[in-house]
Formats: sequence, C-alpha cells, structure tokens
Amino acid sequence: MGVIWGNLRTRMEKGLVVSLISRVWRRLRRRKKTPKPQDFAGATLSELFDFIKSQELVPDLKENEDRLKQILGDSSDLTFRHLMFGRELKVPIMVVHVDGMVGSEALMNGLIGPVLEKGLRLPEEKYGDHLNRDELFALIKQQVLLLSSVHEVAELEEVLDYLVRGHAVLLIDGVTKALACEVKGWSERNVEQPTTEVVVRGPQHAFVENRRVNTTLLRRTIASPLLWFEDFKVGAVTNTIVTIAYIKGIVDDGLVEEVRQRIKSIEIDAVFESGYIEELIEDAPYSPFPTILRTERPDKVAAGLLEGRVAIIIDGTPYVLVIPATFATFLTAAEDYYERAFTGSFIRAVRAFAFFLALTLPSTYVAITNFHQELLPTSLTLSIAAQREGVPFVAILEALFLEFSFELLREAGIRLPKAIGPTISIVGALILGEAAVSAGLVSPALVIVVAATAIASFISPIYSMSISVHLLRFPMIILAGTLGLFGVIMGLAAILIHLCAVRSFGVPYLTPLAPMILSEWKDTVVRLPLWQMDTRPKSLVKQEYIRQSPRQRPQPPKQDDN
Amino acid sequence: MSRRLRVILVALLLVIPVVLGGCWSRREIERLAFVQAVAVDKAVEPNKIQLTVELARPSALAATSQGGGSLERAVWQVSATGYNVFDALRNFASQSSRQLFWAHNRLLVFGEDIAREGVEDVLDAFFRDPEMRGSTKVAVCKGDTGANFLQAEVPLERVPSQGVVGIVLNGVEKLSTVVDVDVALFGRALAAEGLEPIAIRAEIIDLVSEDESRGSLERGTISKAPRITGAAVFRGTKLVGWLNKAETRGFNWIKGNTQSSVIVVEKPNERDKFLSVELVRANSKLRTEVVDGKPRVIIQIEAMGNFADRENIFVNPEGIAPSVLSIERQMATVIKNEVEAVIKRAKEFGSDIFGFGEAFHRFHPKAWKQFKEDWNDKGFQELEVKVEVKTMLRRSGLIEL
Amino acid sequence: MAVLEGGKISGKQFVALTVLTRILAALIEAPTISGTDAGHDVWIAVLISTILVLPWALILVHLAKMFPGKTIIEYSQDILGPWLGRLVGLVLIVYFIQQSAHAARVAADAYVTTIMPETPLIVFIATLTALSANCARCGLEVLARAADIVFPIVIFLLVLILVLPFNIVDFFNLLPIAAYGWGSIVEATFSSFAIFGELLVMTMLFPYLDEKKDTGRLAVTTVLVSGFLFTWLSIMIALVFGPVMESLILPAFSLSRAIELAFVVERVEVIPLVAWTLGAGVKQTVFLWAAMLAIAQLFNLSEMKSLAYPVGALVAAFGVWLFSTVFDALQFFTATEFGPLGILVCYAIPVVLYIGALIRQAVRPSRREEGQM
Repeated sequence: MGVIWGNLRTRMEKGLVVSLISRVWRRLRRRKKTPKPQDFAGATLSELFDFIKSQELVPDLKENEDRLKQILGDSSDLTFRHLMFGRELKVPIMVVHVDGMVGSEALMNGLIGPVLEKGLRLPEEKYGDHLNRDELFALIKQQVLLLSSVHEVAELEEVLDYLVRGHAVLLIDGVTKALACEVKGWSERNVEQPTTEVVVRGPQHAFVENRRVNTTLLRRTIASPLLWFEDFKVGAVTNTIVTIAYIKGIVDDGLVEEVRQRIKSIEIDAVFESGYIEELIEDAPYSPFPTILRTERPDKVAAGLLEGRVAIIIDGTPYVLVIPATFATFLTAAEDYYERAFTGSFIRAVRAFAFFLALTLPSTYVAITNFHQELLPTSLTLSIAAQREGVPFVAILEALFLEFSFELLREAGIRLPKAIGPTISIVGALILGEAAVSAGLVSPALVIVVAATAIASFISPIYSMSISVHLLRFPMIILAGTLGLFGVIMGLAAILIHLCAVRSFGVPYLTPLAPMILSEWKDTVVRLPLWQMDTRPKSLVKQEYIRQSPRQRPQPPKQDDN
Repeated sequence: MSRRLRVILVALLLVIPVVLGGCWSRREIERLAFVQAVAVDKAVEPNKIQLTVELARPSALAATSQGGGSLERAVWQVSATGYNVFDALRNFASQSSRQLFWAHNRLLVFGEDIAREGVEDVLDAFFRDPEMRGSTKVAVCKGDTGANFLQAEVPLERVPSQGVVGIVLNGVEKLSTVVDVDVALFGRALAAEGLEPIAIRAEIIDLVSEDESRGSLERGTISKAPRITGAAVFRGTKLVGWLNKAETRGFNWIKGNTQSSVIVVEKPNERDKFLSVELVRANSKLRTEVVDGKPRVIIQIEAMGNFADRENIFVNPEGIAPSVLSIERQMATVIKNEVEAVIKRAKEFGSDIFGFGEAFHRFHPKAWKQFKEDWNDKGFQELEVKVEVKTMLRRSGLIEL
Repeated sequence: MAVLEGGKISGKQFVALTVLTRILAALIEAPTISGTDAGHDVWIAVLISTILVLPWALILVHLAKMFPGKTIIEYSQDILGPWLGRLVGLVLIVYFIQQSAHAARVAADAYVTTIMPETPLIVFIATLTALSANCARCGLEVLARAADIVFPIVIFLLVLILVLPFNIVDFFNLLPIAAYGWGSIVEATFSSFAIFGELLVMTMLFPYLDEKKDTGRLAVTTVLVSGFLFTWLSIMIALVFGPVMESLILPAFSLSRAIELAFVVERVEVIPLVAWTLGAGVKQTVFLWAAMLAIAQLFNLSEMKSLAYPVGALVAAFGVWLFSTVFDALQFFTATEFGPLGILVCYAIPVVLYIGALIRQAVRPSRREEGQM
C-alpha cells in the first residue's frame, strides 16, 4: 500500500516538475522565436488565431482530417465518420462532429442515413463515373439531407466554428467546401419557473441558458415580424453569440446603433454571463447602482421591448439584459401590471419606501442613539438606553458588526448547498437573535432595526439593486456615526447627486422624477389602469409615442340601451 | 487625472469624518443621564441656587417589563449648587457619572422661596440652551422646596415627574381647576406687554394609605404624594400669590381654557341637596373698549353642560322645564362668581394674568400707550370688567331629569 | 471657443432651482429678519419687498432678452465696454463666491447652534462644500435634476412645519400692526431687500433655459413663490411666538420644536434641519456654479469643470472667514453691515446695465446686428 502511494507521489511530483519545466521552457521559447505552425508548442493565442485563419479546406479528405485534428488538438470528443457514397462510385465522404453536442437520432436519420441510402439508390448508368464532385455536393445539399438547416461553408475557420457549436460537418473528397448540418442535440435544462423573480400571477416560465430557446420565448410572446434579432459574436475564445432584440418601428434607431457600437467595441476573451456584457457597455462603471436591467422573465423583456427598449440575449445565461434601465425600472415587478391597478400602485409605494428604509434605517438608528437623543419620545429613549446599558461596543461598531454578520449570513445562505442552507439560517437566527442579545453583546433594538432593514432591502424585485443598497448601508452607517443626521443627509445627498449625474444609454437615470416628465409618472410613481396608459415613455420613444387608442375605460352598458 | 481626483475626493469625503469626526458631539445614549424633572431652590449659602434633578434610571425602568424581583426606585435625585443655573449644572459633573441630558425634561419646579424672590436668572437658561424644551411644565411648590416636591410620588407611575405631568393633564381635561403652563407659555407671558405669567401650583400631601394597601410596591420610604390644584400668580418673574381651585377655574373661564369640569349647584327648592352638571363645552369672548379714556372689558362666556347626577332619583316634582331653567341660572351664577372672584384676586396681587392689557395693546394700540406705563398698578386696578354668562343644559344621560 | 456649459434646464427646473436657492434664507434669516426690531410685523416688510422686487426681476429678464444666450458677465462687457464690464464681472464673481460661502456658513452655524455644539464649524462647511463642488462640477443639468428631486421634498417639509403648529396659533398675535413703528418695518424691508438680492443668480441661469418665451413668467413665479413662502413663514412664526419672536435666532427651528400634536407628532425638529441642509446645499451649489461660469467667461477659459474644486476650496475658506461670531451673522443683512453693499451689487448693477443697454439701443440701434456679424 505504502509502496504504491509513494510511487504515485513521486510520479505526481515528477509530473509536476516536468510540467513546470516545460512551461518555463515554452515561455522562454516564445520569447525567442515564432513557433512553426505545425507544432503548436509555445504558440500564443493570436498566433493560433492567425494560423487558423490562414488555413483552407483542401480537396484531400485525409489532409482535412489531419488539419482538424491538429487544430483541435485531437480532442477526445472529436468524432470522424468515414462513409463511401454510391455502390460503385465509392466517393469518400467524411462526417465530423463533436461528440455529445449533436443528437445521434438527427445525425443518423437526417444525415448519415439519407446519404448512404441515396448513394445506394443512385442510378449508376445516369451518373456513372462522370459524376462531378461539385454536382454531388449540390445534390447532397439539396436533395439528400433531411435536415432543416444546412450551411455551405468554404473556410476552415467556419468549419471549426460550426463544429464547436454542435453542427455536424460533411466533407466530400475532392470538394473544397463543406456542409454544416444543424443536428444540435446536447442535453439541456428545460424551460422552468423563474427562480429569482417569482410572481403569484403571471407567466411562469423563465429564460434558460440556450439563446435560441430564449429568442423563441420572446418570439412566442411577441408574434410580430417586427421583432428583430441581430447576432454578434463576442469573446475571442468563447465565441459567445450575443443577440440584440428590438421592435423595429418602436425603438429609437439611434439607441440600437449605440448598442451595436458598444457591443462591437468589446474585445474580451470570454463571456460567461450577461454581467460581462453589462460591465463592458454600461454608462456608469463606477456606480454602485446597476444601469442595465437584467431579468429572467420573458414577459418583462417583452414589455421592455414594447416600450422601445433593446434586449440583449447572451448565449449561456438565463439572464437577459434590457437597456436603457432607469432607477424606477428596478423598483418595478412584472406583477404590478397583472394585478389590479391599486394593488400595483400601492406595492410600488411600498417598494420605494422600503428602498429608502433599507438605505437609512441603520444609519438613522446610529445617528439618533449617538447624537440626537432628543428626537425620540422619552419612553422609547429610556428603553433604548436601558438596552444599551452593558453592551460593550459603541453603537456604531455594534451596528456595523451586526450588519456585517447579516451579510455573512446572507452570503452563506446563498452559497451553501441547499441541504445545509436551513441549518445556517437556524444557527444564524439563534446566534444573532438570541445568544448575542442575551449575552449582552448587542441590544435588542438594534437587532430589530437590522432585521427590518434586511427585509426591506430585499423588497426590490431585482437582486442587483438589493445588493447595491446593502453596499451603501455601510458608508451611511459610518457617516451617521461620525456626523449624525448631518452625515446621513450628506450621504443621501451624495447618492442623489450621483443618481442625477448617471445616465443609462442617454436616458437620465432618475427619469421621470428628474428631469420631471409627468406623463411617465403614470407608470412609475403609480401604476394607472391599463386603459389610461395611452402613451409610451417619452424619454425612450421618439416616433411611436401613442400606444393605444384613448378612452377605453370599460363601462357597463347603459340602461336605456336595452 | 480628473476621474482619479474625483475618486480620491469621494474617498476623502468618507474618510475625513471618520478620522476627524470621531468624538466631537457624539455621546452614547447609555452614557447620558436623562433629566426627568428639575427643582430650583435657594441654596443654604447666600446668593446661590440649588438645582435638584430627577434622573431616570433606564435599567430600573426596564426591570418592570421583565417582571419579578423587587422594584427599585426608577429615578435618582441629586442636587448641586451654584451662582446661577449654568454654574450649578456644571457642578453636577462632580456627582453624576453620566452627562446630564435635558431634552426629555418634563417638569421645572420652583420652591416658593426662590419664586418669591424672582426666577428670571433661572429661566434664561431654559430658553437659551437648545437641549431644553419649551414643553417642560413650570410649577411652583407651595410652602415647600422644589426638591422636597420631587420626593413626592404618584404610586401609579414609576417616574414621579410623569405622575405630576399626568395629574396636570388630567386636571386640565377633567376639572379645569388647574392650569397647564409650560416654559414656552411662561416665557411668552414674560415677553408680552400687558400679560403676567402664571404657573402650576404644586403641593405636597401625606399619602394616607398604609404600606400594605399598596401591595407589592416596595418603595416603602414614600409617604408623600403630589397634589396639583389652583395656580401660582407671578408679577414679572416674582411670585406674588396663589389662586385656589374656584379662582383658577374662574381664570380658565376667562381664557376659554375650560375643557370639561363639574359644576355643583344646589337643587332647586331643596337646600343642602346638590346636583352636578358636567360641563361639555365652554367658550369665552373678550371685548375691549375704551370709554372716556377708561378701559373696559366685556367677557362673554358660553357654557354647555350635561346633567350628571343628583341625590334623589326618579323624583322630580317640578317638571322638566322649570328645573332646567333654574339649573341653568344657577350654573351661570356659579361661573360668574368664580370669574369675578379671580379678577378681584388678580387686582389684589396687581398682576394682569388674563392679558387684558395685551388685548388693549392689540385692539387699542393708541390708548394702550397711556396705560402701558403702570398698567398693573393703575389701569388694571381701575379696569371695569363686565361678565356675561350664557349657560345651557343639553342632555341628561339615559334617564330624565 | 468650446461651450462652457452645455446643459439646458426646463422652466420647472428653473423655478425649483431659484426657489430652493431662497429656502435657506426663508428658514433662517427672513422670518424674523434677524438683526432688526420689526418683531411680528416682519411679514409686512417681506410682502413689501416681494412686490418691490418684481420690477427688478423684470429688468433682469429684459436684459436677458436683449442679449439672448448671454450671461450678465458677458453682456456687462457689451454694455459697459471691456474694462468697466470686466470690473463688474469681477464684483459679481466675488458676490457669487460670497453667497456660496454664506450658504454653507449659515447652515453650519445653525448645526452648531442647535444639535451638534461640539463639532467644529469647518467640518460642516468642508463636507457641504465638497458635495457642492462635486455637483457643480457635473454641470447645470445634474444640478437641475437634483433640484427636481429636492424641491418637492423641501416644499413638503416646509408645508409640514407651516401647517402642523395649527393648534398653537393665536391669530391676534399679529396685532397691533406696526407695533414697533413703521421705522423698524422700513429697516426690515431694507434687509429683506438685501436678502432678495440673491435672485441675481437668475441672470446666470437665463441663457440656459430651454423655453425662452416664458422667461418673464418664470422669474415672476420665482419671486412670488419665494415671497409667499417667506411671508407665510414669518406670519406663522408670529402667530405661534408672538412677542417672543423678536428674540429667536433660528425661528423655523423653534417653530418645529413648538409642534406637539396629540403626543403623536412631536420632537420634529429634524424637519427644518433637513430642509435647510438641502436648501443650503442647492444654494451653495448654484452660486458655486455661477461663480465658476463667471470666472470661465470673464477670463475666456476653455472649460469650467476643473474650476470646481479650486473655487470650492475658496468658498470653504471664505465660509470659515465670513463671520467670527453668530452675532455678525445675525446682523449681516442690516443697514449697518452688508446690506447696502448687497443692494448696490444686486440692484444697482443690473439697473445701471439696463439703462446703459437702453441708451446704447437708442443711440445705435444697428449695433447689435453689427456685433453679431
């Protein structure tokens, strides 16, 4: 046993040493001279890209195969299938695909099956040996393949691109073109209920990781030819497809162009989540507030599109970006529109209040207990004083400590495996709520404050906004602990100035509050009944301002009509 | 460059107060001694005053809610002396481990001695310091020192001053035989022309009940209780005399302060049998006239009451209408007597507590210039006051009169 | 030359900005016109000065219309010639900086007097100035947007402290009218006039209005709204405090402390606190921005953003140096102190400019076209 273990260890160490040496060696070599393209040892990314670009398809199948193997590093998931076309002709055909990314059924029934069958049934006397390879290529493309989407590609680079996106590529001996056949079929998450933006009433499906499914969801929500999609490839290595969606005619063309420009100017190696795109195209990179809305609800995106916004769908993430996004967008939930108008308006007021509360409650508590003890009623003051007696920390430290431990709990609760999550919350609740208070480490009043703040901070329907509030609470507490209410006011003023200065794709962030656009208040400050929302937001839409015909208030039929 | 500068500036904005601001005006709430009441008396040393403060003990106060254990006294009294209020206040620092905090002060009590000598030095501090509040009640303890008054407790309340203020508010609401005067009102009277201040009249009475009857309240040493009735009359900043219950109600009739009260009148036809009327509403109107260079005041009082109780139930030989009339007439007489009594009393003290002078100042500014100089001693004394009272009996509860 | 200030403001924002600029004075200086003896008659003085200020405001508007797109700094050079015009510009810059500093100083003084007596003045001034400079740096549009948000808040708070004390008012407190003689009212009117002079900043804002037609209406609205607020506030304070009013240093603060409603609404002094902090912030920023713009225009600078922090530092220093004691601050706008100088700057300069402009127009009517060529 020990011998084996020792052996293993030495081998591992050896391997480590070898890899280290080779890495250093490669680096040294890279400095010295450009590598030969044939062995990629020490080649840089850009050199490889250049090499790939320089390569072309050749008539010889074997050579093409070698080249693909070389470029893909003879990856284990790369699968080559060699066929012979025709009973007599025996034209060599090669089908390449990446294993696991294609559906074997589609591959068999749509591609390999028909090709082989056609080859066997091909009337020899008619074609014979004279069959031109190019004609065969066209024949296969047009008459044989039982597939909905087949692309003709001429560049090796394109072939590679299709390959790694789950296409099967068909190459014919002697033809310098290839057919990229869409036979995608990897296993994937189904469309499920939204997990972060739950509604009681409303559509219960959410975006998934697949871009195509997401565009489908949008298309199904807005069945209009004017819903336009545009694809961009972002990420030098990941080659992620980024799709922008908008409704032609409603959207301001300038906005679309701006989005295009910003996406095109991205130069990054990888895009894993919409957050990457968001950070690279947003207006206020230093702002604690998000200026781009992300959502996993198709109905929300659709509503945004109809208001003249642009959506950005990124392959690989269920979160879709909607731009421009103003501050009010983040305090809006889809359900506001599905429930009755009064309910919607009330809930919005609650959210705005909660946002303010989450930002100011702990700092106000600190300011009042440290500076302005005259502001509370006598009995409450004395009660807080009694609770604070014996607490070893000054109020500001106490508040920071408790807020910080709340952040710990929150983070732990999210990251932990689902099975352990509840345990953490129980432990946290016990430690924070019970033990800390009874041990006299924190005062119960502050626990109440922090708990209320925590609840209030999560009322924003968008998690990104909640996090911003969490973040801003700490400087606010520090300001309150040093300058009292003056500090709190100054902190709020600083936030306000910042919010006033920020724009999201040309739209001031606080629209329609500042600049004040009263016609947009119908859908921000309150939520008026749908039959009163006759216009689209003026700040977004330039041409199609009217949304619906006015005077649609439903009424019971008049008595004398009968 | 500019962006970096901006980031640095924002960072500085956050950091500077942390580094510098640390401890200027900050005071932890538990390091404060919350003054609930303050008594001002003459000190033993000449020319000095003695301040006695009633400080709340938050931990003792909180003990109630958790239940169990013996109840400690929720307040602590401590005295300090000095040449003026500010001096004395600072001298508390040699006795109190916590900084005195005044914003929750409810009550300011003067001992009778110092009130007779004048309280102007004292009051200034209460107006000037932003921590002091105008809503603090002002009282004078009749025949005793303010410090002793603070010892008197209402067994219902854990903080004595809360009991006193409660009595004042209750008295204003149910009896109208007390006045509700706070620092702001007192100061306003001092600043105005032709208006003299009054204050709450506070007394100490023996608590009659025995210790056992007070159940588990183990504050055995307490044997005194406060009583609030009547009013203290000032001239300028000096106490000049006292009003009794009836006179105080007379004062409240004139000022229109009567909210609810009980008027006891003799039964029509029956001597020594009484019935009482619960007052529900009272208004007063003051009209000023200058006739032949002489000031005249007409006070119109309207009072509305409900029949409350009487001695022999279900027996009313007279019928309703005549009884109502006679009761109303008796009510009017009672009110008028009280009003005239208080005016007579105020004239004796030479102190226009009603603000008749102020009314002349407002409505006859020219004539006022002649009276202004010696209003309290001459104009007010010669003032002719006409009292008109209208009364009305409105309901009699669930049974007939 | 590059555009110094690219922002445009709407009429609503203009009114919000200018009225907010006056809130500080409304809360701290105007209700009692500190330093004068008018007592409860102050409202008369405020009302008179409001009406008297109207023609002056219209002169400002007319000047702006005669020189469209130009600030007072620019057209004073057109009217008075380069050297005298520049001198006027210099005076105005000093005035703007002084007003900006005054705003920070008064708010800071109020803080120290009321709730944070141990904190050094410089902390408040520095914090306020840092924020103002940051905001002024972002330009007029950001400032206007901030005003859009702050305006309703401040007005709401103001209305609260004006309405909540309804149960302790005594309407007869306003009698007798002119209790302290008309002399003191005239004196108070004079001071009120000097305080009203801060509306001179409108001349810097006019060129950036996006609705040019209604300039006159907007200016009149501003004067009337702020005059109305001033009058209401001084009447309310008189109604509550009566004879005590004269001796109050921070009447609005005292007013809020007097509020006590059914044991529910009490201890609300935080209301005027927030209001005057926001008011001071806006006023300081507006004047700081005006000073920056004026400096940039006077010295033909290519941009004004980089002026924000240097001028801000100047303002902060000025603020600390402005008064040595609170009594100086109280007396500031009276006839013996800054009052005459303020009136000279705010009223005499525009009137002289206006007369000059009229003469120029009369003598050489074609001059303006030539100038535009």
